Amino acid sequence: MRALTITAKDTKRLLKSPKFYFSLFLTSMAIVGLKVLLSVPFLPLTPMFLARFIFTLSLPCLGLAILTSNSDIMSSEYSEGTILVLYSQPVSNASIILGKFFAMLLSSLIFTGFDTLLIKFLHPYIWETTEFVSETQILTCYFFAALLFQLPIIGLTLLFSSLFKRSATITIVVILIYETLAVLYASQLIWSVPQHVPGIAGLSILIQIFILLLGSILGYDIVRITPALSINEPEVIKYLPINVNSQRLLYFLISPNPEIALPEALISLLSIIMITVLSILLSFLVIKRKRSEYRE
Amino acid sequence: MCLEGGSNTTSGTDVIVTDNLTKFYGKLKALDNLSVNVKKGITGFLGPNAAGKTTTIKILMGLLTPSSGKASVLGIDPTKNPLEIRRKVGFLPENPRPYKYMSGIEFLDFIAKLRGLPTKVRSGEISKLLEQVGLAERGKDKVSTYSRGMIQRLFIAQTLIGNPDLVILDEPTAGLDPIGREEIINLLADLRKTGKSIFISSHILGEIERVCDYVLIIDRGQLVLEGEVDKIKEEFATGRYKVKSDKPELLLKELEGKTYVKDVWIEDNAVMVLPSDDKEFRKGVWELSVNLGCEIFSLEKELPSLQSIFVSLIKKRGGEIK
Repeated sequence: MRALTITAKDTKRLLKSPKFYFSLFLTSMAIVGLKVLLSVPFLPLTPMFLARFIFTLSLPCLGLAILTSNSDIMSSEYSEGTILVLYSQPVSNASIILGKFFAMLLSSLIFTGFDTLLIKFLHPYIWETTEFVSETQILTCYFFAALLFQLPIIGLTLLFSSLFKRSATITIVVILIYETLAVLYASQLIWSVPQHVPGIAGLSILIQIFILLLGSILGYDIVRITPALSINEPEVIKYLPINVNSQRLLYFLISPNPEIALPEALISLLSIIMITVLSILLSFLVIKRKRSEYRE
Repeated sequence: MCLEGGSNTTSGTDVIVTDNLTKFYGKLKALDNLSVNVKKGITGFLGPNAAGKTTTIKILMGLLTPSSGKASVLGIDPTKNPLEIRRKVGFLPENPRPYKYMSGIEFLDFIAKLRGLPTKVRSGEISKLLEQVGLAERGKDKVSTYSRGMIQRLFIAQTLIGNPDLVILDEPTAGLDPIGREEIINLLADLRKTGKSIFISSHILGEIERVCDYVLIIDRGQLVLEGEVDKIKEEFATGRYKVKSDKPELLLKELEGKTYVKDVWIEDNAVMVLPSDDKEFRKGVWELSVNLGCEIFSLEKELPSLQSIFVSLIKKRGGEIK
């Protein structure tokens, strides 16, 4: 209950902050801007291409929105000295961390919900080729994909917000982590190691796990340890910029199909949850340490 | 009254007990085997800056862990059960910062929720507390529009949520202007009437003197003096009397030859007397007034202020008053 009290407090704070509306504007501009751009008549774009284009742009924007609007969720408590209000009340460290996490999750729901509605109303033509699922199901799929994509960002933002005081530092550090992972992905350094360096073969399972985690953080199609989908899923799901297992999981959620290898799909969900839980645990350890030796 | 040490006997009326409490910050010894027993009532916890007051309070509230020694608040060990202490004790931290985007009512409601107050009683209790601290009319205003004194009163109100058995106030008047300080002291004087146990840390003694029954004075992490305010003053009294009369010159002349008077002089139009025998002096001065036909307006034994006792004690220990 105390965690939810903190969630309510932080949500109210966010709703009163200009940063929230700026972030909302940022996410909507990605989609509204595309609407303007794609309305140019001579561009010979297929709906599938548009879907991929929109999803690839809107998801990172959502990530950025959640990061910029919540980067000070923990750090402001320290920099403004209000953390002592929480410390002096019967509130456990777990309640503080969970309260903050739920507040970020709630803001993520708002951003994602708004984003999904914008896509529905501004880009209805991207659903033209879907044959197996309804538009509502695809939108639901996008909504959950976006939430999954944001979960590790929420966890990392919480962790770095507990560690650093300045919002700018937190934003830069989280972006740098993502950028580093993206560069590693682009250069395909990581997944080429087990295949090309025989001496490191013994570590292949660990490296595979590492790749899996990277895939979850990035949200992109890094993980190729399972074969591609063989089932008749709608094409549009394949264009969601998330890994194959996540696609499989989402498809199972919106349209349960016994052909889907659910255990494999769950790996993706588990790795996302693992990253998020690990970040929450580390945040918990950070504030536990800070609380036990709190000095102004 | 106890000098340099303090009794370590626990009784049922003790709300706070520390036993050889020691705290190091790196090599700096902030608390040095501090042993105190705080009874029910209003207790002042005094000392110069960096004496170890806030460190002690943070240990009592479970915000810091002691390097060695034990503490107990309302019979609860703060290192083992800090949440239980925060549930039962109202706490005002030093230099508290509120959530500026909240109104006074929203802030108290937030704290009441954290303290687990049922929804039904929250609104009534918040109105009552705002009334008590004189913020009833500003309750709906944003805290960002409050003065420092008002913020401090709001924080005192939050310490009273849930009617705790003990309230710990760390430097409640720090950083306030004279009007703000007066408001807080008046508020504490009102709280005194409620019979609640209050533990107040401060380095501004003149104000604390007005509201405390008992004081503990610490310096460099050690207890240097403890006792009831009146008894301490009595103990540190110079023994001088101040006699206000309509004929001070005449009274001075007569007192000069008396055997029960060690020294006598005039100061600010009053006769100052250092008697060798208190009882004889008091009896003799009234007899003189009758014989001389002069009127005695007042006869008072001069008691030192807590401030002067404090300053002399700290200086005697080689400390500095900042």
